[in-house]
Order: sequence, then structure tokens, then C-alpha cells
Amino acid sequence: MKRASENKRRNNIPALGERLLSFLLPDDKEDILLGDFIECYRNKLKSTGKLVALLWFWTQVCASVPSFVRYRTRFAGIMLRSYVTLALRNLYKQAGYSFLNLSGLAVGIACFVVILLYVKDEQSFDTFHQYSKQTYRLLDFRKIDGIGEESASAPILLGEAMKADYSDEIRASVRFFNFQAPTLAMAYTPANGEVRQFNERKLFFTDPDFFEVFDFRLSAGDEGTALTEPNQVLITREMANKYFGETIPLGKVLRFEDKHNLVVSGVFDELPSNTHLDFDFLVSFSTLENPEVLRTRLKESWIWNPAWTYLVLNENVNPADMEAKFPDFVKSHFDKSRHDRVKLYLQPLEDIHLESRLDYEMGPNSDKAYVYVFTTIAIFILLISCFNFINLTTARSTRRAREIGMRKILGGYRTQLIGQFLSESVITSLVSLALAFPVIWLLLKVMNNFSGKNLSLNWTEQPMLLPDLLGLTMLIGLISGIYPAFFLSSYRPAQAVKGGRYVEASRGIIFRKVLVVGQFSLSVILIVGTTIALKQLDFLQKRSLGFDQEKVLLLPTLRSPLMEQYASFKGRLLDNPNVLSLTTVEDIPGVKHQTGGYRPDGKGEEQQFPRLVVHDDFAKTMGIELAAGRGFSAEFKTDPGETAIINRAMLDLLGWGSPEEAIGKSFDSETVVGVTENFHFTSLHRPVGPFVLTRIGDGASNMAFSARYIAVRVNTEQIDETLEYIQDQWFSFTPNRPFEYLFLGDLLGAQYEAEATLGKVAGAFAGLSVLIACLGLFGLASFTTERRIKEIGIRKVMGATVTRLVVMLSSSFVKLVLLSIVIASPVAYLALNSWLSDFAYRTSIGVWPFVSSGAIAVLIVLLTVSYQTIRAASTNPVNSLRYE
Amino acid sequence: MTTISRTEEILLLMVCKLGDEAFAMQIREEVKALTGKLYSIGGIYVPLDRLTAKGLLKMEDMASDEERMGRPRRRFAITSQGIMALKETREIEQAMWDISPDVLQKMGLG
Repeated sequence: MKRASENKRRNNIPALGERLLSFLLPDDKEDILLGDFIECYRNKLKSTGKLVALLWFWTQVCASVPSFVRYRTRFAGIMLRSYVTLALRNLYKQAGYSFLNLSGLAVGIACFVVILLYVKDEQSFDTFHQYSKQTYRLLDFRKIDGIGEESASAPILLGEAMKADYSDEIRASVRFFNFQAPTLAMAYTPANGEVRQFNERKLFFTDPDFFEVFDFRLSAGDEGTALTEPNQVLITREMANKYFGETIPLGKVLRFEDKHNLVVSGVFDELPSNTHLDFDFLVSFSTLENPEVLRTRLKESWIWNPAWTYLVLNENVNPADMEAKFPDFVKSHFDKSRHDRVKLYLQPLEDIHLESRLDYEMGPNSDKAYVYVFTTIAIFILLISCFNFINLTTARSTRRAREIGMRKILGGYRTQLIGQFLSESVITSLVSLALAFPVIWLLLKVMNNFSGKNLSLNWTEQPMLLPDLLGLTMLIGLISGIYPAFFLSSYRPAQAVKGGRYVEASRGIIFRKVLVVGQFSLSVILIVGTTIALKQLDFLQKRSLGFDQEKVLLLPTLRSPLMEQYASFKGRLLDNPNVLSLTTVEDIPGVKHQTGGYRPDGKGEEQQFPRLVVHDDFAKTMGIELAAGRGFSAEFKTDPGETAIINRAMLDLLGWGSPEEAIGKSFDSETVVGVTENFHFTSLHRPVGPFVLTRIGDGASNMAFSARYIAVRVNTEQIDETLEYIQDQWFSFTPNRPFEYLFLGDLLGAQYEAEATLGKVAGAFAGLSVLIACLGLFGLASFTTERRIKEIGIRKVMGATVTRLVVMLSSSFVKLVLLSIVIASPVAYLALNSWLSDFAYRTSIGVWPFVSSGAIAVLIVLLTVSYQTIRAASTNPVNSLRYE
Repeated sequence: MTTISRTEEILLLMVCKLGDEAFAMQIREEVKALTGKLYSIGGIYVPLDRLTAKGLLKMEDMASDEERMGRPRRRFAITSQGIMALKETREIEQAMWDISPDVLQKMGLG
């Protein structure tokens, strides 16, 4: 026997081939043909040997594929056409429910796509450069015991020194420099016409390697020579229009700070918006060689770190290996006293936009957490709309019991029914996709409005989007169709035809309830999340900062000649009764600050403390309360250089007891003359820490360099006149410097822009998610009530009131929603808690958001189902009992 | 009268010739030997099925033998209609060739 079976195996066609053939061959002749194959194979085997026989066999298998495909597709084509017809016919027949179903899914898909575009855009920041994967920003951390600065910018010499020391590893380096000035003055005087002068925020000095490292392309000018010579400037098209009123002003001259002429050597056309490098002007770095632009001492300083420095590493260079060499580099270049303090790091270029929150960033960055939040919202909404789709399809399907029964009786296979329902749901989802496009278009407008981005559905830029979208939609259709398909095709024909409707198994009803609970849980999470996000935002914006920001104006004055005449300018301004007081500040109070090195007890290691250099009357101008002592004042000639004011947190850090006791103590080489109450010198993302105020030196260079703004406290009642007065005074002192003013309150509010965007976007999408969930609930309610119409009729005959019936019908839905709230609350609580923990100052979560969101959800649900229930409950029982 | 094609004529004749052995694969071999044309394994069934549908052939699925690993085997047999068709075809053929020997000689067909 064993021999025989071995013989069998040996002489048989390969098993894999047999399986393949049985799949390929038409079903009705499969056995016969397979037998023929085996027979022929054996004959070949006998006559020509195994090799030729096998070769012949596989050729045969391959040759049978084309006819198989022809055969199958012709059949499938016929079926598909019938499926499409059926699907559209069914959609049309129940137009109302189809509309609910389609629009729910369309809105879901649209939300998903729009959020996805947003997230994709966020993730695409700075990934378009040729070397973006090898490009790193040099970070310069200077901290002792956790206090100090984490700077995104580095000393001017650092980049070049790195390149010289590590020439094997570094391919290129580029610096960006803007004196760390908030604005710089630029002007153009046409041959015959009025001067056009503005304060520019986005101006950087940069190296010629710029074009090698970053993929920004000039539309006019030569990239090889555009930044190589001193006094060259590249501008964007927007700036070209602003100053010159023409698009390609090559060779024209811009006047920088009323002193230096810069020749336009190139124009950028459209700059990509997905980069953290946001510039309007690029000036050649060699321009700084002129000591009148930047003093040589500052240029060669290893202490001052104002230059954002980017390195492109050669391929195969591991950034961690590079960083390991940095301690030695610090020892050989920095001053000995700073060896322990300075730590250099490499930050991947592609991470900057989403992950970097350092001191002295070029501009505000986004946050990875928000990308996650948005992705979660997108997935939630998609899930909600899928649940909706499944729910409505299954609910509707009970009506089609008779059709299904008939199909089965007429010989429809179960597989064909499954195919029919799957293709129906896929076709429906594709129709939704078509409907989604106008919604996407609309939502993109809203989203762009909220986020300040310029997102669009661009097929040429995102060629994969359409196939992806099609695939996703069909997948949604398939997944949504699976349950109805298998559930419907399992109807027993006799029962289905007899009853006209199928008494659904309780398992099906439970399944649908689970979906409703899932939907509403997700919606409740979104509502609670939005409530808390808005509450936190409100909290941040309303929190008292320890100073009065509303009445303070800032005039940018860095490097302005006005500061040489500050005293007389101050006197003139104070002549106006609406100008209450003024001072100068080194940075925007409540937003940014500098740091200074101090030895609080006069000995030991120097520590970096947050510091602002300010002029007289700072506390008075800002409305900061003094706990003890006095503010800086012109009456005390020793204030500059010899005195300091500290805050209460510093007092506590040093353990100096009460504010009064601190007065007169020496802080490093300075004498403490005042102690302020704590005020928020930076955004509320960070807690209030120790802080130092020192009086600016009266020397011209100090005034030009450390007085970035004049802060003016004004009476806001006649603000227009006051502003006009200040402007007139400004031009009488410096006619060739543009006048600009900023309200401190606005600047502070802008710090929470990311939270504001998050709140608004999350709110909008939470609203949409509730809308989608309600669409589904509306459809579901109408089906359940319709199914119970007879029961309602009997109840009415027996004497039930309309109110009682409405309560009875609604209560099942309300129960589901209450369950959703119970499920959603802990999840929402945990998620929000972890979000809030990123803030140093946070609102309490409390129970109210949960209660109010729950109440809103219940209310919406009641409103949604009430239309159906009231209608059902008030029908005449005669009609409802005659139903069927 | 049923007109049949040359292919069908050949197949019908082969079925007659093979008698009890008129299985698809054997018919295929015979056709190959006679005309040099080799049908593919599935392809041979196309004209055979057509003939069956016309009622000129009938088929019978035989139980398996050892040689075919338990797969059934389809045997074809000619029906009386098939025989009629062959007869008619032959008559037509003969009538067609009923040309004077001189003419045939002249054309090199003698």
C-alpha cells in the first residue's frame, strides 16, 4: 500500500499546480479538466521524462490564465452592472434615509480629509530641502543647576569654527542673524516721489551657502553670486511690490537703517509656507564686516549667541557621534569660565517646527501634541460616521427582508447576496465621497481661516491623495457593509417572505446599540475636550499677569538714533497729559526676556538668571506692584550699573526673608533697591521663577543696544490723539525712521495662538461630530419607532397618553447617551489632565464640563428623536393598527 | 438539414472512429495526428460542447480510474442526429467532387 501511494504522489501533477488549476478552471468542468490534465501529464511523464512534463504542465497552467480572466470578468461585469443599478435604485427609493446616510459619511470623510491635510502640512515642515535629513540646528544651552537659557541661536563665530574643526563631517553651514531685533528699518526713495519706509520683522543676514542648504529658489538673480558680496539683499516678490511697485527690481537700492545701501540682487517668487524659516529679506552676511553695521567686538564674541546656525552633515555622519565631540570643542573655543556651562547640541531640522520650544526661537513653532490631538479628532469623526453608516444600513435592511427572501427562493446564492450588499455599501460610500468634495472645499476655507495656513486639495502636489482617498472610502464601504451583508444574507427565506420584515435577532439590536454608545462616547469626549480647551484658553487670557498690559504701548527702537536723545524725547512725550509714563525695555515683558550671569552671594559659580534691562519708571509704566523699596528713578544717579530690583521668587530662592530685609543687600556687585511682587515675565506655559531687573546704562551704545522698545503708558480714552501726538514727536526727532507701535495686550494674546487655534478647530469638529451622530440617531429613531408603530397603536387604544409614549420611546435613547457619558468621562478626564499638565498655570477640570456636555448631549438627542417619537405617538391608532 | 463545419465534421468522425474510447484527450490526440492542429486541454471541449448542444453528440461522465486520481472522465458518443449530419455532409461532399475527370486532370487534382 505504501508503495502504491508513493507511486501516486510521484506521478501526480504538482500539488500547488493542482490547487491553482482548480481555482482557475470553470467550476462546472473542473473535475473533468483536472482529470484530463493529470492524464496528459502522465503521458508526458512516460514519454519524455519528468523535466519536460513539468515544463509542459506549468506552461499549460500559465496559458489558462488569460481565458480565465476573460471568462470571470465578463461574468463579474454583468453582475457589477446589476449591483450598481440595484444600489442606485435603493438609494433613490428611500431618498430621505439615503440623504442622512450619504451626508453623514460625506461630512465624516470631509472632516477626515481636511484634518489630514492639516496634519500632513504640519509634518511636512522643512522636509522639502535636498539635505533636510542631514541638516541640524546648533543649540547652545547655558545652564547651571537647571537655571539659565536654552538657546536656539549660537555665537556668530560658532558655525565657521565648527566647519574648520570638523571639515570631514560638515558639508556646509549657514547662519541667520538679525541682531535679535524685533524689527529693522528699511526704506526706498524713488527718483521722484515720497520715501517708502517700514519696520521689517523678517530680515536676516545669511551666508552664501544658504542656497546649498535650503531649497528656496530665486525667480530672478543668480544664486551663485546673490549673497557673496557685501551689501547685497534678496527680497520676496511681496516686498518688491511693497517698496518698488514692480516685480523684478534687480540692481535697485534699499536703504537699511538710514545708513547703508543694499543692492537688490535677487527676488524670491512664491516661497513655500511649510518652513520655520520665515523671511522677507536676506542680506549677505559679509555686509556685517562693516563695523558700522556690527561692531567687531560683538561679532567675535563667544558670549553673545544671536546667530541661528545650521549645519549639513555629510552622509553617514551620526549626529550623536558629532555631539560627543562637542565638549572638547567647547574647551578649545569658549572662555574657560564657561566650560562647564555651555553645552552644544544638534537639533534635526525637520523636528524644529513640531518639537522645538527653546529660548530665542526664530518664530513661534507648533506642537506635536496638537498634531496628535488633531489626528485623534480625525479618526474619531471618521469612526463616528462609519458607525452611523453601519447603523443606518442595518436598520434599513430590515425593510428589505422580503426582497432578500425572494432572491433566495429564486436561487440567489448567499455569496451573491453578500456581494450585492457589499457592493451596495461600497457604491454608497463612493457617492458620499463625491458629495464630500464640496464639503471639503468649504471646510478648507474655514480651516485656513482658523489656522492661517493655505491648505488646498491639490492633485498635482499630492498625486497619491486621490487613489488613497478612493481606497479609504471603499474600505469604509466594505467595513460598513460587512455586518449588514452577512446579517441580511442569513435571513431564512420562508420567514422573511411571510412576515415581510424580519424579526431581528437581539444580537443585532445590541450591536446597533453598541455602535450608538460608541458614537456618542466619542462625541462627548470631543465636546468635553473643547469645553476644557476653551476654558483653559480663557483662563490664560484672563489671568492677571502681575502687571497692567492694556494701557502699554511699545515703540520698536532697537538701533535707532532716537535713543541718543531719549531724555528729551521722554520729556516731550510727558508734556502730553495722556502720556502717563515711559521707560525702555530690553524685550517684551510677559513674552520674552534676556538672561544675565550673577553670583547672588558675591562668590562661587556665576548663575544665569532671567533678566530685563530697563529704564527709569519701569514698575510705574508697567503697573507692577513693589513689595518693598523703590523703582528705578532719574533722581538716583547711581542706579545705572550699581542697583538691581529682584522679584519675590528670587527673594525666596535666596532665602532673604521679608522684602524689607532684602533692601540694601548686595546682589552680585549690585545693591538691591526694590523687590517686586511676582509678575509673569514670560508666557503662562512656564511658572514664575526668579527674575532680575537692572537699570540700563546711559551710554549711547547701551541705549542703542539694550533698549529694544520704548514702553509708553497712556491714557486709553483719547488714544487716537495720543498716538498722533507720539508720532509727530517721533518724526520730529528721527524723520527717517519708520514709526510703529504695538499694544502689549495684543502681543501677549498672540502667545496663546496655538491654544486658540486648537480650541476653535476642535470646537468646530466637535460640533460636526455631534451633527453626524445626530443624523444617525435621527434615522435610527425613525426606524425603531416605525417598527413599534403597532405596539404604539395598541398602547394608545389601551389608554396611554402621548406624553407617556414619547417618554417611553425617548428613554431608550437617553439611556444609551447616559451610558456614553459614563464611558466617555473618565477617558476625557485622563486625556485632558495630561494636556493641562503641560501648562504651569491651569484651570481646574471640575465636574461642570462633564455635566454640561452631558446635558447638551441629552438635549440634542431628545430634540433629534422627539420629532419621530411625537409623530409616532400622536398618530391615530386606527391607522397604525392597520399598518401592514 | 444541419450544415456543420469542417472542424465539426472531423470531430464527429473522430468520435465515431474512437468508439468506446472517445474521451476528450483521445479525440485531441487523433485530431493532432490527422490535421496537425493541437487543441489545448480546455480548448477541445469548446467544439465538443457546441456539438453536444446542437444534439449531434451526447456525453457521459464515467467514473474515475486509477490513471486520473479519482477524477471523472467524459466520454462522447454520436447521436442519430449526428449520423444524419455526417451522412448529409458526405453527400454534399461527393456532389461537390462530382466533376469530370478531365477537368480534374487539367487542374492537377487527378
